[in-house]
Amino acid sequence: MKTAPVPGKSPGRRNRALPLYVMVAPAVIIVGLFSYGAMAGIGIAFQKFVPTNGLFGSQWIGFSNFRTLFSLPSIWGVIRNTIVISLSKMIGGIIVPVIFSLLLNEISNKYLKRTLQTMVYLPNFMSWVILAGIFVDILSPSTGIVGRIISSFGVKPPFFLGDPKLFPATMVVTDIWKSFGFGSVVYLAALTGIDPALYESAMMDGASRWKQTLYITLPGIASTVILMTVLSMANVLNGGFDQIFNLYSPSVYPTGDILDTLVYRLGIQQAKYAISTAAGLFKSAVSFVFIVASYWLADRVAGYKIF
Amino acid sequence: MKKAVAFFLAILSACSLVACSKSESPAAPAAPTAGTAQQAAPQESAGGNVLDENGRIVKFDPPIDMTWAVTTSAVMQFKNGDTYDNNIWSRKYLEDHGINLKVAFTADGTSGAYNDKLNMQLASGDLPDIVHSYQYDLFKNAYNAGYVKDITDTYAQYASDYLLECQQKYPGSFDYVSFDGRLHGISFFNDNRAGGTLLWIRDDWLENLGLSAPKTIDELYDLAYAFTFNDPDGNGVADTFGLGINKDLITDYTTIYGLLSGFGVPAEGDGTYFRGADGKMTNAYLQPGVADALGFLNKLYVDGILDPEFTVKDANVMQEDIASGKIGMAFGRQWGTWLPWNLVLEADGVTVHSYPVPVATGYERKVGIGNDAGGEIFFLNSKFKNPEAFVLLCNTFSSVYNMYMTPEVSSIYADDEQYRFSPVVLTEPQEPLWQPVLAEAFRSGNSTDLPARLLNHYTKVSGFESGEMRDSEAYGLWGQYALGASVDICLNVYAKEGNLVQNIIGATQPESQSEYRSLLEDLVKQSFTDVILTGDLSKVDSFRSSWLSIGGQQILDELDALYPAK
Amino acid sequence: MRIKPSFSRRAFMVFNTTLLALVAFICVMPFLNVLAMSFSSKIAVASGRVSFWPVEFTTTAYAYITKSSAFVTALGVSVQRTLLGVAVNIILIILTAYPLSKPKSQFPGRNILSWYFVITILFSGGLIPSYMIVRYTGLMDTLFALVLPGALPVFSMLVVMNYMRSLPPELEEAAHMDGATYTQSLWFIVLPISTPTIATVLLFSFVGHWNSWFDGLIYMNSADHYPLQSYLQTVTANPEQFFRNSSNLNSDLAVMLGLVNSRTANAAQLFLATIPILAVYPFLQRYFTAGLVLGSVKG
Repeated sequence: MKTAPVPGKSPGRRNRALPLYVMVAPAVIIVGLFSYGAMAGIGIAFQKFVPTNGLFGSQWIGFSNFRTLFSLPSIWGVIRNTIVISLSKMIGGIIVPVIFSLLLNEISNKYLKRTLQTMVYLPNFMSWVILAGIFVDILSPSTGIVGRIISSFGVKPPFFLGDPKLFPATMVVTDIWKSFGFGSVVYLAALTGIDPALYESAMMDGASRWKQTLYITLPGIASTVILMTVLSMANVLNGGFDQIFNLYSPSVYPTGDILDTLVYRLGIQQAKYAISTAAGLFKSAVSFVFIVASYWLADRVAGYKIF
Repeated sequence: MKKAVAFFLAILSACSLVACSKSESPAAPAAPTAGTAQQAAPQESAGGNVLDENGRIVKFDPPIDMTWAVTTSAVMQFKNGDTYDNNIWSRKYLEDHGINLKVAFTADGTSGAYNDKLNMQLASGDLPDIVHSYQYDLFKNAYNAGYVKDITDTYAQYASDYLLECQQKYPGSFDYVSFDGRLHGISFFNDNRAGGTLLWIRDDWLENLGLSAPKTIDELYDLAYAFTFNDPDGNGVADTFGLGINKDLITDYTTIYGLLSGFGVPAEGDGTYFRGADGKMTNAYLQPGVADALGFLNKLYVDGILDPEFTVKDANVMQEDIASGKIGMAFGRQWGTWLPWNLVLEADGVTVHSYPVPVATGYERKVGIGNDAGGEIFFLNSKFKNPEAFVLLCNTFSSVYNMYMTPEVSSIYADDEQYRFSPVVLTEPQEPLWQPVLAEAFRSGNSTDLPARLLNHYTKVSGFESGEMRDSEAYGLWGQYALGASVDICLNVYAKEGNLVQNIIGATQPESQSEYRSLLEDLVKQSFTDVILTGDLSKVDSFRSSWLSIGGQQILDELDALYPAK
Repeated sequence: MRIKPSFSRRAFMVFNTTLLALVAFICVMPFLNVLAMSFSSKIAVASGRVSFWPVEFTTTAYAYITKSSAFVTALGVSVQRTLLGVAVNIILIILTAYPLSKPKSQFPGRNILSWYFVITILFSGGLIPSYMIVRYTGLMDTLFALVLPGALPVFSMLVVMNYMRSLPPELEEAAHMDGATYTQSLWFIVLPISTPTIATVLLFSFVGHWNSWFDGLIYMNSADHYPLQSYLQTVTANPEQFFRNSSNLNSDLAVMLGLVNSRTANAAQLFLATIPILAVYPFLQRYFTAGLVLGSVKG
């Protein structure tokens, strides 16, 4: 193999690469300080942490915090909620954008298509703080517009954010509402990547639109769908802190409390730092397994490497 | 090329920024907040301080620094260019006591931002000198971590007569901030006698039907029946219900507390915990009257007196129903004329009155109220070397800000939430303190001796009574303080007749309670709703045994140990 | 060749267009409702009469907000934070992605460094250790506390890196033959053709900084220093939570009374906070379709 010409006059690979090292240096330092520096704090999970003594002066107690964590009466409910909510979001987050992009793809008017896209992408760029402010208002059963629309059909408006039975579904639906439009970008791109010649020859053969969708379009985007599914596995314990934190209330804890909100309440509101850190570490560890598995699968199934 | 140079400059500056913050880092953590305290120590011994005749420090000279955190609110105002660091209170404390207040941080109190920030500071060992805690947990965590100063002796030596008197008057509030009998801070003074539940009834409906307020449960039934079926609003449509209760039964307003009280059940929140007549620890919802009370509610439900859809209506919806004139009677606390009944006044000009809750035959009225230990806590960081400064702040605050302050003082130090500029805020419970004074003035018709704040109340209440004032403040105060109004009933009927049952859980919450509380609350709500809908009273027994088995017994046992019988 | 659409095809198109229009409307409906509320009277809002058009039109909510300096101050902080944050993000993304896009032969240690960054996606120390770091570095209560801990958005960096890697190496080789340095070829060759990807990560970075709220609450020492979203979080935070947790009757009352009055003002603030996003996003929209897909899927 011939070596590609590279800049720099001095001999030796390392010296020639010196400018490249200088370039990454700032990021290496900042990430080292803020990410790796903070990672040292994981140690708190194995300590009887006393703030006055700090990380280095507190007593090490092994896995005792984890035992306490898993004996909390609410913990299994929280894990179940986290998985139920995140799995539903994952499934909906694949199916809805796929269907939407298939339907949008049928629209031939360019301007209409662009307008629809602009409208459905919009919620994705709003913060959950703002959306929570909006949803708390519009989902109020007494005065919210959704409640009024529902009661105009003569049905009692449910308390979406206050009823433990409805809360998880509300989280899933509002999350899909926020993200499906932007999630469809990838599929729309995959759709434009399908060779038009395939459709032309199918039409010659007299295949109906439905048949074309079934035999050309769907297989055409299948690899993208599989890839996105595999990658979304990494989120199995991500119930969505920003969303749930801004929308939940104690009355829906039984079905709405997730690991991230529990970590927050334990750590910041109740000052149980060690148990909170243990819960966070538990989440990171499980997620780590899923992320690594999903990247491995993405590579195996779709030939996709993250780097 | 110039562009490339600029590019690198940007990178370089980014590098140097990190480098500089890195080099700073070892120095900073070594002595968190110690700066002020260490400086203060030699100053004290330097001896320039102004002392009183008993050798107590009155004013630090040179002044000492003291850090604190401000709980902000949207309502508080900055007058004449005041800031968090320089305002009416900080100037007073500096002038009177040579205490130079420094703000460590400010954060909003209602959203939880303040609590979060404080907890983060506790975790990183960064607490200000004076800490204002809204949570007992934070106080206790700080104590366990060795951050809370024992002020017992300083308090005994320095506290003003007024504060020493409060220590006698509100022992529960002082126990609340003590560990092993040693005082570790000061909290709001509490007196929950006005915390009971009353029966609120629309005046116009009573009048239209020519009926009067019920004294017994049977009369309550008759009235509720008439409110449902005798067209109390005279609109010719059967669109009213006798008694408003919300789906949660035991949360928010429009609860069933009052009804349970009439059956000897001191209901409140997750159920008042108390020692029963037999000396055993028990909970309100385990009382024998529960079955009869629920049976009564079932009768109301079956007879169509309760809204058949009450199971889906929370307090917010009830508020709507009350405002739109569907509900004429509901249980609620002493502030009913502030909310929700103010809506009825606004909508239809209709007033309401509150009444003692009616009692069932064979039962004694039992009204549950919260424990007096509770409320906001102020404590001193153990690293702070001048505990007397803390007590001096308390003395001065309470000498300025109290129920006797004049409108001038109030407008300077209190109004528009100016009191938030003070690191310590001590309040006495208003209702039990003010009601007797106001009642005396109403009886004698002589308001000349009233302190300014009460004079305002007096004017508003009598203004509402005479019909001159119809604003919401006048109505709210009238509903609370008029003779025979809600606070009067709480203090002079409930308290005098021995109806009140105070929750035994004070400062120390049993751990099992925080674990099982919501579970037990849900059980109560579900079981009670079930019985009200089905009328199957045998379910009350199974409710009791499940309540005990899913954690209730554990709480009772823990309480038995925490609060031993005297 | 044009075939006249069959009846069923036309029926489908009508149905499909209607459905998609409805879906798009549902996506913007909440915003319209909030906009209408912000221009309606308190009473109309409280009695639930406002849908998508102001009822009893009034601008008092906006007058109220602009009078309270908090909103304006927070807006200013957000603008500064976003400008600084996006600048730092983009500079670091480019400076990191470019070297890492080089093959191992040109940039030894590339894989180790890649893992060094990727691991930070997988594990984080949690809130309290992060807080301590910010405190020890003396960044507390400064804009840098909001910018530096997330100075390198690793995922965006990977997107850009993958894009740069997909560029044909011949582009740079020619320049290097002529003696161009890495810096020069990055600046004059790689960056200009990476515009779509950079625009995409810039949008994400912009949205990320504009929308983040939690760090502001934790790292700032006064509400004057809150960015807009942190400020909004404190004023529109779920009131029910406070209501239920509070043991003090008087404060219950204050909150409930406030609740009745604050809805129009909240609506106005929520709407104003979305304007910058609405303003920036159409300009970048044309880029992100191309950039995101190239960077993430075909890498």
